[in-house]
Amino acid sequence: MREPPPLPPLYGLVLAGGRSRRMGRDKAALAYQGGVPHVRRTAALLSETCGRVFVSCRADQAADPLLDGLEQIPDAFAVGGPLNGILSAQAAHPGAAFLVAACDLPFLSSEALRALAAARDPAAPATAYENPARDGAIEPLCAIYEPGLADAARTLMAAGLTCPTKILNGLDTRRLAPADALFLANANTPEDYEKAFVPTVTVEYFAIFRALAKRPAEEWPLRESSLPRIYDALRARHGFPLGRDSVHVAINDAYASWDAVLAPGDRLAFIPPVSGG
Amino acid sequence: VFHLTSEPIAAAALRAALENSAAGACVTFEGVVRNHNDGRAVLRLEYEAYPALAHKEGEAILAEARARFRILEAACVHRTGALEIGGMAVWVGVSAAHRGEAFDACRFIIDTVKHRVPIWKREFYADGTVEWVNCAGCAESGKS
Repeated sequence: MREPPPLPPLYGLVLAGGRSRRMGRDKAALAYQGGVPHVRRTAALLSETCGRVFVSCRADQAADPLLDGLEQIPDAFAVGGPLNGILSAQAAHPGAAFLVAACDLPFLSSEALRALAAARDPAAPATAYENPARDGAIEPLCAIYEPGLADAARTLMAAGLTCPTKILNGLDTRRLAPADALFLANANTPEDYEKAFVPTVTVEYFAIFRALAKRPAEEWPLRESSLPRIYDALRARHGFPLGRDSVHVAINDAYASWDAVLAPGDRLAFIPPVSGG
Repeated sequence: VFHLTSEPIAAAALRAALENSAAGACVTFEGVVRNHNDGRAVLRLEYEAYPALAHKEGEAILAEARARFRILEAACVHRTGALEIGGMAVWVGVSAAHRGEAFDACRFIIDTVKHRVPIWKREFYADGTVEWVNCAGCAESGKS
């Protein structure tokens, strides 16, 4: 009986070398939870499952303070896209498998990474989720790449393939279904970011404001917490006739001042001139 | 106590709750719907409230009245919903040892309630228009 070969160590790799063109600003720097830039949060999540964690980046990101204290693996190949980062990591650590996670998966969780690591098949070139949001297509940006993948990938690359999804599809990839499709959702545009990840307050409407807004309440993204600016934006949106000098503010069922600071989840109401009695 | 109600105000029962053997005076105020406002004929009106904030402010106003005036009991009830001409919109009652404090406290309460409690009046006029009162530029076109 032969001894099974030792399992290659599992390292983490955060993909942070993208240009974030559609987002218009560095996706790695966006904060989703606890105000932590998501590249750092993703690295922290990976460190729960992986022995070492690296950040895949472009050579020109070496001095970026965002990546301070993280072990960097600069892109070493002349290929575009995430494949470069994966191949560069495997070239730097040929004996290791990499659990790769993109830095734009806002819902990535410890559970999702643990489940992926538990399903890992070292005999397969890769272990990856099937993404229900992409009709069950393999998701290359939250996947484990075994050391053997590099050679296979180079072969496919020589044939012109650089898309990691196509490469994983072309190999005998071990697939698993995610327990929750949400954590594979990525945020590529400002709208994605806003919709899912900017904290909100609930604006409640009464009297003339309810009549004009045609709704009792709505969620409002807390991009900035200045009450005058929020009022002005809602005034423009709904055609409120009243200037700020005749409107009062209430937060969580108590009168507040216009310079009060809002917190996520607060209920906010603008109070038009009252006329009881 | 401060209450909002969508039912007709039961003034007699509210008055009975003010009874106090140390009281030498009981002053009550009833605000009722009149058939005109600013020279326009009013057919009916509706009150809308922000209940949680209205209760909080209403109770705070009654507590302020107790702190400012030597009174024994104080209560206020305000209507919500639709009212016809002559309907009672608001009721305030105060009992005190002496009439001066009772009058002053009752006046303070109704004035402060009108000023501070988030309740809004929507008037329906004989000419078919509808307006939120005290709200410059808040006329609505047509009936609703």
